[in-house]
Amino acid sequence: MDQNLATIITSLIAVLFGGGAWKFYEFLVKKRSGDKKSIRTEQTMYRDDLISRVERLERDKDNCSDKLMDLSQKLSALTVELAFIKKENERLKYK
Amino acid sequence: MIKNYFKYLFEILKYYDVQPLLLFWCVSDILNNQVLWTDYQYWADLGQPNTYYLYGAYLLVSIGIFTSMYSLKRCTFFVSSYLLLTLFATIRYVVSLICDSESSFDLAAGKALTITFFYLFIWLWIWVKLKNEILYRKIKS
Repeated sequence: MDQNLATIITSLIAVLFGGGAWKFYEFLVKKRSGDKKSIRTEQTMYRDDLISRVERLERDKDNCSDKLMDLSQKLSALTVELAFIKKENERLKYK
Repeated sequence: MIKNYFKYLFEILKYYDVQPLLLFWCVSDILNNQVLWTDYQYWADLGQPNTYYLYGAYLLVSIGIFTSMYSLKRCTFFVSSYLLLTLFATIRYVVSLICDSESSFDLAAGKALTITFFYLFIWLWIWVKLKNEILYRKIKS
């Protein structure tokens, strides 16, 4: 075979194999990047869900705290009233 | 100690940018190109008239690399062309070494072969670095 022809054919084969190898490497890198992105998206979704749950729980806690304050106030008022009624009752007993 | 040194060399090859080397190299390649310092007759007298055209192609591609340093994609195109030329020259040398009955595999041939493959490896490495940069930029955007 002519040397020039052999050189051209060998070069073509090398270029084709090299190009194929590069395409395969490119595919692997893109796939790895896609997998990473998908994991990151899942993690972001989980984090967003956690944030919304924490916000809801904080709101519930504030509501409960307000209700507790209200109940404490009412209890204090009732305690005072009870003490007054007890005293009044004692006074009426000895009258 | 030696292991760390080689690890450091590997990290240089892996992480450092290739553009300054490419710039100096293509300038050196343009200035050393045989087309500028010899004529066609010189190569015809040596019995290698096609080598003159090969050097001409090298000169064009080197000028292409030098003028396209600002654009990664264009520069990669010219580096690909240079790599093809180097690959072609390497294969041509190997084929002539195998097929030519006059040439024998002596020390000089071994030395020339090592240098040719070394140049091929370097251009392959530059090409891979540039293509990798384009690929990662594409993925990030």
